[in-house]
Amino acid sequence: MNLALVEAARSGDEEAFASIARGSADRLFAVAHRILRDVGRAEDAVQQTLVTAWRELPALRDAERFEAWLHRILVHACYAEAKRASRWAANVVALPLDGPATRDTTQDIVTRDALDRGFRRLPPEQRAAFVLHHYLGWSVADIADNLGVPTETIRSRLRYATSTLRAALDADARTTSTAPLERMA
Amino acid sequence: MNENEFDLTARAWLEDGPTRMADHALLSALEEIHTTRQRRAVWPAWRATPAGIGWRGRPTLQRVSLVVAYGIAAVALVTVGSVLVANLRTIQGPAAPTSTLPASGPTSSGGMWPQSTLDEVRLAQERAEAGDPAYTWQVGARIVDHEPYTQVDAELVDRFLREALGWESYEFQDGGVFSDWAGTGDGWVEGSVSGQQYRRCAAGGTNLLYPDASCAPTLDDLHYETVSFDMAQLARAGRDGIWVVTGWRSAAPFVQAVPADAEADARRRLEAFLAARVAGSGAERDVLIDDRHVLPLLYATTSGARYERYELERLEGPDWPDGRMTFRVRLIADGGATVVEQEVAVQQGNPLWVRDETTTENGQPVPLSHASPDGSVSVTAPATWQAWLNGTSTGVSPDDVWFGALWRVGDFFGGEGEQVELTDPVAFDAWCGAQGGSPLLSGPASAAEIAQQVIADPTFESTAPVAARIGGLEAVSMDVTLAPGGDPCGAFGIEISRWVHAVGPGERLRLYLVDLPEGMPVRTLAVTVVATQDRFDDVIAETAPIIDSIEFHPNATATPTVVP
Repeated sequence: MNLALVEAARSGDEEAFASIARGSADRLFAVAHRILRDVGRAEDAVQQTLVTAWRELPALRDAERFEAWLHRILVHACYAEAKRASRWAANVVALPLDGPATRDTTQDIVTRDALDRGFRRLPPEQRAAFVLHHYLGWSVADIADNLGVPTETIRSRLRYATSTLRAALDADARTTSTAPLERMA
Repeated sequence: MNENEFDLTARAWLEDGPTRMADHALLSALEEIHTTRQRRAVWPAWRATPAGIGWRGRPTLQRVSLVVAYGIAAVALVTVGSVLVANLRTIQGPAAPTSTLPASGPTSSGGMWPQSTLDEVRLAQERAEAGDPAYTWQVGARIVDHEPYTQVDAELVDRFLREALGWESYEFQDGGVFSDWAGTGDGWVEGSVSGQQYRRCAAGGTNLLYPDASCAPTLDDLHYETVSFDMAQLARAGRDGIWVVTGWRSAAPFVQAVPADAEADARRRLEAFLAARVAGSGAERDVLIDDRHVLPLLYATTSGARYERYELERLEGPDWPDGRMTFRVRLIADGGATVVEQEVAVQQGNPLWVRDETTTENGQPVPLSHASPDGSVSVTAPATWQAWLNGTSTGVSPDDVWFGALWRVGDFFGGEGEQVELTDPVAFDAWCGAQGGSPLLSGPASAAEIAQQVIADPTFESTAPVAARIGGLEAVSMDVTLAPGGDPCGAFGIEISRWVHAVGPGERLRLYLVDLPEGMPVRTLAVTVVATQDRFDDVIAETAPIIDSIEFHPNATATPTVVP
């Protein structure tokens, strides 16, 4: 991140912030989409993140924390989007993953579907912890620090998310492995 | 699937998916920014500081010139550094914590080690495979810290830090990124590891500020030399491949907080927080608020009495390295007749964290009311219990199984702790069957019919159903245990409500079944309390008020609430 741009934006330079936004939008969108599993909501979360970041930027004390700060805003925007969705949607159906499938073997599709089902069972806080850890590669300490949440809470969220996703995969494997026996019976 | 395979699979799955936001979405955000005014700056002009957690520049303590500090710090990365640092300590004395470093800290770097070229690595690989002990020590790296899965244990790490950097004592600080996992399930890693971070500990030194800490700083009384390095198997990836350090660089010095400053800061923040609570407004500014932390009794007692004064008492800390502390606060009302107590954790750089589960009023846990997002069900439980009443409309339940759960704070939700669960039994069984299990129910049924099916199921042993009341409605209640050899349709480890399927060997389950009126999202609701046989009566007694507090609200459209 260009610190000069951040400083200029903090001083009210809208063009500087636009440059930051252009450079960050895709990355933020990728994270938001992985948390929310929906293109429209991810776009809404990123838009809200950028507007909030612009509005609150003068309060940021440490320019080098800008990236972490931006992601913190993004995660909270995702929480808000998830809650908004849950509040108004009578039934949330499993939406297909919008991205291109890079591998198309049957097992991969089955695995992805199982993970997708399991992930949708997670509350937003656990989704965010899982994505920040496994997608962005943040450590537990970094997630806790950047989100302002106790480390143990993040560990707990990761444990729960991992256990749920593993269970989804295990259930899938169990179903797959028992199917032939059922047919034989 | 072992842990390594799971991590690989999960990461690959996360990598899939869109990574580019539509231009119109970005333009829309920029248009909104154009019409949005920035808030006025709260803080004085800042300047770049290192990314080290908890770092706050302390210019008043910088008693040594930057040039000298840089010189000391750079040299300290090699073996003679400790001597210079020791001399510095002698000059300054141990009484006051000193910080000699500029914000960016010293910088140094180096290349490959112990071999310095790829040809040397290939030769070393051949000799290691031939069993030459001069090289076999470079073989093998294991993951030793599964949380957060980042630390590797390899003789190479120890030798690099001791022999290349001259560090006699060190601690793991943070992990980096693994390129490949061996997938053997026993923790071996292959390929490359980047960004392993270690901090140096003063050899034989005592941490003057934190005598109980196992690692003393090396650069001054606050800062630790910190290094980040990458390692890889350049000649052969796999269990037999040798590892080399491919590059290293000094990182921003790890910093420990000055305990007295941390405590003063913590007390200042806490005093402001408590004063705002007494004043009746503004307490939300510096405190963690999310859907798991509800700030019970923020401005008044359960009877609505405003606070008149407060007291605070240190319980723990300041703890290494960031001076985090825990206080017990007392808010006093009704001329001293009512005392609300809570524990509050304070950590620099983070909002205050009120441990809501510790909230008591005159020594009794404070009841909190929880409602499902659809507003159809509400329940009250002591603050020592957490609730997750998701209902069906949150997108996190399996299909549309209405569920909710309450469990004691500190227990792992979904683990083996004692829980109260609310489930749509018919929908759960349908979901269970769809997952490949054998559902208990054959289809929609009333409370009485479901009770009879449980009794008839050889998986369970049940008591005769008796009349009960849930939420003011007639219900049936029965106790259920697992029959010998019984194998209920488990939720495959998915820790959501499992109604009667939650009972395991050695456990007993109290099952309430209640038919709900029109306007509720569920026709029949199962409420369960599960505990081990020896704890069962105590848990039933403890949870009885929670069960009694359940209320149903047909045709509700409320949003999720937690009412302190």
